[in-house]
Amino acid sequence: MKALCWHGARDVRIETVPDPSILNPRDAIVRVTATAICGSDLHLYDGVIPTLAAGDILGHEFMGEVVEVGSAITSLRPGDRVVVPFTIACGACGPCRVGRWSLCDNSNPHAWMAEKLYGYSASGLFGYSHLYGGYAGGQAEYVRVPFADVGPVKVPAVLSDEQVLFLSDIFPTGYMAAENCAIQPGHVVAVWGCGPVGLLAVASAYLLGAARVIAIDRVPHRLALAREVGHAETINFEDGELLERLRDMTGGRGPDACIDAVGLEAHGAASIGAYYDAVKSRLRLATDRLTALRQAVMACGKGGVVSIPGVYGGMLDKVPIGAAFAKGLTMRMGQTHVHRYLQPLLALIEQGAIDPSFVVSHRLPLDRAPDGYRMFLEKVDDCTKVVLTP
Amino acid sequence: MHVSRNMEGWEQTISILAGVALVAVAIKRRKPFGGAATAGVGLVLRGASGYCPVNAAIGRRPHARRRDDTRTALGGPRGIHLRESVTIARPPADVFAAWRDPATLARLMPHVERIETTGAGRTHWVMRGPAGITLEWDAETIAEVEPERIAWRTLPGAAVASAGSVQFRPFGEAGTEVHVTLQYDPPGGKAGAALAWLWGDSPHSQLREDLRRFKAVLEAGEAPTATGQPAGHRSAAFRAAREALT
Repeated sequence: MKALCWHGARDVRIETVPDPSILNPRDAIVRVTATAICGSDLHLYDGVIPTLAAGDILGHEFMGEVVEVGSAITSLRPGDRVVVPFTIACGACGPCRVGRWSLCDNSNPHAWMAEKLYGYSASGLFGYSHLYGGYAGGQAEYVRVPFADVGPVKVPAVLSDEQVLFLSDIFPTGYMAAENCAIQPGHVVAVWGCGPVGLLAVASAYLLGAARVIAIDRVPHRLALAREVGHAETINFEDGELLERLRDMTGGRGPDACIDAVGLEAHGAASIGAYYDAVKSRLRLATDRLTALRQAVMACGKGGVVSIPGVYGGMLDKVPIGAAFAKGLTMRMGQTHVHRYLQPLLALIEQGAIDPSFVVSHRLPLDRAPDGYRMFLEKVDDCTKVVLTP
Repeated sequence: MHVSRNMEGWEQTISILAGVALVAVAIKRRKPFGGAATAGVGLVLRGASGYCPVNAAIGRRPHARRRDDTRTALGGPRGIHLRESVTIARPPADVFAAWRDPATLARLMPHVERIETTGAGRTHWVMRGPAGITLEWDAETIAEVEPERIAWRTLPGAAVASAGSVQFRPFGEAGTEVHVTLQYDPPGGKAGAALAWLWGDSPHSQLREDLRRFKAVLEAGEAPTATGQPAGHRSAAFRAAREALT
């Protein structure tokens, strides 16, 4: 089959590789009909996530048709059309039983690696480095899905691939980011980053009852999407005085919740902190650049929540923890418990309450995935989201 | 010359460390072939082999007692002690029953080739050691309290004397905390174990992985794997590393 393989920083290639096969009784094989490039794939593309190896197949947002199931699978049959969550969960361990699916104890065969770095291992993920299990990803014609009786959700034929594809990651991720904000009537939510997750966090914050949402970015096209489709008020942070403007827009209170939908490769305006991070990551003294997180903590109003759906992988420096303490902030973060949101969010899509496909800007055949990565990284041609069809 | 081990494990460790220090000093002083260096190399060899000519001359034989008897080999502070624990979302009775089944254990430990039941509370173990060596031994259950505790030890004649116990403590609604302690007297004493650790074959991480698989099989019905999945062109270094790990 054809698959997108990583070979180094900014070097991804379409290769012909062996087809996947059933390895465990609870596996299924899915023929991929649509897959997307995630913002977090760009961290892999840039080579800032450790333990990726040349030849690894990327991709964790995908859906398709079941073509084969393992001996223990009774809930799925060949021919079923499913969306697959990017987090892999067994459904039986302590964390899974309380709905913390992305913290599954039993889905990362390389848990020892994650334990060395993080103390304990979270769940395995598709196509997201050996630290997260070394699972082959879904930017391919076929993919092996472990614990297929727990993850994949069947989707009705009346909905198009693009309408349901984002149940695999970014819609639940944006939704959980907003849910983590504990939104009350009248609340103002500020969202850093108007990429697909940020845009869906804007929409989700309104769905959860926010009075106002303020979206922050520097790319005019993305700010326009947040304004026109997401109905957010917007700020281009390159215009300066971000914190002052947020204060003015909230009657001097500051936002009730701040969402960092940017993560470890924040650009930031020309601040001392941004240069400091850039130099330190070049010298390998730090791994993550965190302009967005610093601003979110500083901007957040007293007693507020900082919600972090953006990916961080390593050590942070100069985090204003004193500000977070002084203002009594709550910080919530982590990989999305995708399984928890599949049915309720599918229901919202079916009811027409939201159509997440508004984030799609480019549609390419899988063969052109390397172009898709480059366009998405460089944000050329107003690129916000690339959907690939094998 | 008949060379057999006549040093305690701690003596070997000190001998190796002192030898390395002497060699380091000699190199720093730019006298890599002087007396200090020679003495240093001697101490390292003495520590690594476990044979001390002085002990031989004065007839000191600390291992005159039987090294394959678990009580003498593992009594007090002797031997290597390992502790590891894991929480399993199944009641103690289930976890106890799974542990008692030799087939479960053999399936979970990739280095164990087979476990045969040879009598009441007795088992025969066959394990693949490093470099293709096969290790075999007999073990007996010395305590069994259902569903709380199992303890065992190797019988005389074992290449590696070992003893261990596992406790199953109820956790929450229907969970179990599994606490394992393991003691063994490795070939070459603690120095041998330290060198094995340096070479990367850590018994502790092996125990942790075995328990991890035990948990996964009990909870999820299978242990996760990514071995055998497709991939694009791998580098020579990646293939070599994978070869070394399997």
